[in-house]
Amino acid sequence: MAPTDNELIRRARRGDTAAFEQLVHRHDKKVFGIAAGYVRNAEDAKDIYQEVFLRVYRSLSKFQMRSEFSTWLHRITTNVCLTYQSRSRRHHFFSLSETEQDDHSDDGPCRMVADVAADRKTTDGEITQYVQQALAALSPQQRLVFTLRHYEGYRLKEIAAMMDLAEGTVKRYLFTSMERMKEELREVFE
Amino acid sequence: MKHQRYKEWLYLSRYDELDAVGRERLDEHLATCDECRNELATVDELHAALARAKPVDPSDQVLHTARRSLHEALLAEKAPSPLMNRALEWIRILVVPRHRIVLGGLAMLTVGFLLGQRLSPRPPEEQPEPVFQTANAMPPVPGETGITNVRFLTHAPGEGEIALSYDALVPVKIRGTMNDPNLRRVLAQTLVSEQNPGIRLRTVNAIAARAGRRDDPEIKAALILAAMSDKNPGVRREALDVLRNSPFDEEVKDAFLSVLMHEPNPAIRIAAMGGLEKARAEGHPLDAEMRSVLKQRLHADENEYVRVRARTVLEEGTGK
Repeated sequence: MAPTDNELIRRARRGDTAAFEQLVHRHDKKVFGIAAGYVRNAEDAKDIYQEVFLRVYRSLSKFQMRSEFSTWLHRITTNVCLTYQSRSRRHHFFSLSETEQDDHSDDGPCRMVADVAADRKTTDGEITQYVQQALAALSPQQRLVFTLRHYEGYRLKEIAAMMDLAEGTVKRYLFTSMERMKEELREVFE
Repeated sequence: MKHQRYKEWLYLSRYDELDAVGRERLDEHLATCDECRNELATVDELHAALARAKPVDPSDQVLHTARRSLHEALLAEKAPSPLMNRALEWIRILVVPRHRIVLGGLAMLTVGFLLGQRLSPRPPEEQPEPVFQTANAMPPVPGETGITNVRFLTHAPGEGEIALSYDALVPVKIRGTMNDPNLRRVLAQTLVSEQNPGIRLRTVNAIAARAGRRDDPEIKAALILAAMSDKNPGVRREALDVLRNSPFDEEVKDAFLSVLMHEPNPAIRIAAMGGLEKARAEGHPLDAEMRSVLKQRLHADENEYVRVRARTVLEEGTGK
């Protein structure tokens, strides 16, 4: 039977690095998904990923096992996201697949996926860039709430627990982020 | 104000965050309010536009790279600075002759201390056995204490004196079988933390050669980590071979699949495929995940032999 999270934590506290990495591998896809959705940049997402798990590693003795490990982990993840300063301040869209090839590699950092469907007024690639720009216009808290709700599918109550906010505050962030997105993307759908 | 609340409810309803009472009141309101119906249409268009944007879907390759970087960072967190590196660092700081005199004095002090430890006689009854059969009693080996982390103290206790502090390294010898939990713990830690790849390789070989508790969770976790992440291909290959001869379960399966997907060395990818073949021969059928990875290797692997083996495993798995 696979060890529980708490068993792995106890072993990791005794210096068992393999146990810690086993714990990491159970939860890191979610963490990486949150980071990637928030920054939409592979290098920054990897930075956030590493920062999150190093913080977890260093603070493992402080985790009292009164809640689920994932709850604590996601709280650290949201904190790191909110305080993260990108090494590059540009907000260009990068493919999150390092092996992806496309025909527009000479376009520079903004790689667009061309859609040749003649009946579309705006291509999917252009919409992607608009969405990217709209997300960049949000405050960190709005962007994080939007990412967690829209892309990661967390319920507002879960987001409130992760960000240590009241549910009403989270609702307000979601509403203001959607209003802002609506304004930024108005020319896409009007 | 009233419209503001309904506008907020429109967004919440699209995310299924509105309770039954709220949904009912919203529906009633929408039946009579053109403004909010228009707003709803705008919200729907916004969601449609967001759905057309390229989804955020980090590839396994990117995640695997992140895991490797984390592994290196964790090793750096744990690794103490080697004694030799620190010693060489001091020796390099030979800026002026005065420092040479101080360092020469330190060197003489160190040598004198170690010689004194080795040469001073001990009464026979105090000479303990250097090797112990049980890991529960692991006293230090006398006469072999090393030093590390030497620091000069800022205050000088007296004229012509040198004050410094150091940590004493106490080597421990341990002997036992794989049924010994302390020995297993040391082996598992060595496999993931030891800097010297030769030692890591000997550790895997020691685990492989000795019958006993190879299904121990710590040993298994260390082997999986080594197979997936060790910098040295020889260690990765040997760890994989031990896993092939271990009980097949979900974690071992995930390790084989991860190696198949991300391992740069084709011989090791083939070894992972051999692990899946062996599992199938032992009665574990190919599941959807295994088929998916094998198909990917069949179509996309750069190595022809890997592609051929993938086809064979798939065909044998379906009884063709």
